[in-house]
Amino acid sequence: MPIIKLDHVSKTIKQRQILDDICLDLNQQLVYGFAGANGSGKTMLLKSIIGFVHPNSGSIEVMGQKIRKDVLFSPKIGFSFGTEGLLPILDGKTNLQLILSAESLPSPAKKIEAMLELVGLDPHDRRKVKSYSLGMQERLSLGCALINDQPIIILDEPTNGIDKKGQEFLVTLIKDLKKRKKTVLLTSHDEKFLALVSDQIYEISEGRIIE
Amino acid sequence: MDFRNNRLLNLHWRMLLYFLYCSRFRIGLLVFIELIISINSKGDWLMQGIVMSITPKTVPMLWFFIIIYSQLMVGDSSRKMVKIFFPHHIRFSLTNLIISVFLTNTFITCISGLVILLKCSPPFAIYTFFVIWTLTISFSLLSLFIKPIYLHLFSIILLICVTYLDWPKFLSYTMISRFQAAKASFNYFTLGIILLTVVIFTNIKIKNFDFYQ
Repeated sequence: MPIIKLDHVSKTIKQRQILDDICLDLNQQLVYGFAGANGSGKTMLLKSIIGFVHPNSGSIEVMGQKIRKDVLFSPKIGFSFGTEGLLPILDGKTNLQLILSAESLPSPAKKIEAMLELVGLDPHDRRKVKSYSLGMQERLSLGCALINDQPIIILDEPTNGIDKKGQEFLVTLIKDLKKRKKTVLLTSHDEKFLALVSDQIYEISEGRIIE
Repeated sequence: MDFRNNRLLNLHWRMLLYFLYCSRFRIGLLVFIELIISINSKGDWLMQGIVMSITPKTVPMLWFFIIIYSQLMVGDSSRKMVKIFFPHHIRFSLTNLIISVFLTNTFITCISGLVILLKCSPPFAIYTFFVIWTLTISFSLLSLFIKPIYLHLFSIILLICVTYLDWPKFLSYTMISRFQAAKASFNYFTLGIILLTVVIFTNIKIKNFDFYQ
């Protein structure tokens, strides 16, 4: 049974077709890459799966829950959309603290520090996020996606603003996520990167999937 | 209870701080303080509005500014909070985020309310506080679905109607020259209906809402 199922999903915004009758079955514990030009609908597709965007027609099911019907957003997905959602006036640690759901953990602070170290940020850095470089913000956003250890991870353009060393780190991270039996969905303009990490790649053009 | 480990309280506190950090709020507060310091020491003059027996020639600007101040300070911050901040912190329920919106709006309204209370009688000050609070919360929630600029325009047209047509009555009573304490209690009911309508409308429309920039 697919872990994510899209059934004839369409979305129009201001009379422009963003997603056009998309049908997709994604199985668990695989890495899916989505490639396509700017404005092709890649990001909108990922946001629809989470529940950020309400399709005009069709249905989306994530781990048996219908998005926008059973739940508003899927609670099973950790996601990163670049620097979106980061609070610029707070430091990295506080940004993660607001996202961390397992408050019953005996030491959530340790988990946050461990995550910051994992993504290559200094846990003792008290600077506000707005003074971070783009690459640092991307790393923090990655930490936000991973902090709650959810079964599905969605990464939108994770290679943005990342140097070569950062890319190598990403490749290792995604392979590690796969070993930990996560399902990963990611978009990128870098087709070499996608080919390196993905089990299957979908090409999106004008809101349609071209396999 | 350790405040730092209570995520819900932490959320509300962070939202308030986020809003206070906004430059629009800080500049607006300075303008507001400057204005209030410069007014006449007679408290009634603050919210006098028009004199009832004389046909108004202009909208009373000080009254106008105080009524609309909170909405100007809120601006599009509620829209940003719900559209952009909320989706990335979805472990908090939408209800809790709307509560955050209520709390920040109440804080802003208290600024106007405090000034009015210092200068005017308590029954009038309390009534005007609730009117401004209702308008600000309604503005915040409706701005999720309607661009704030159109809501500002609507508010301006409404305040002009109040000046020249003495309607709607609940808004007209925010002018001391028109305030009648005995009849104000009915207007509280009107305010409640307005707020309830906006909250129900929000609950219905939010299901088809798109959470993105």
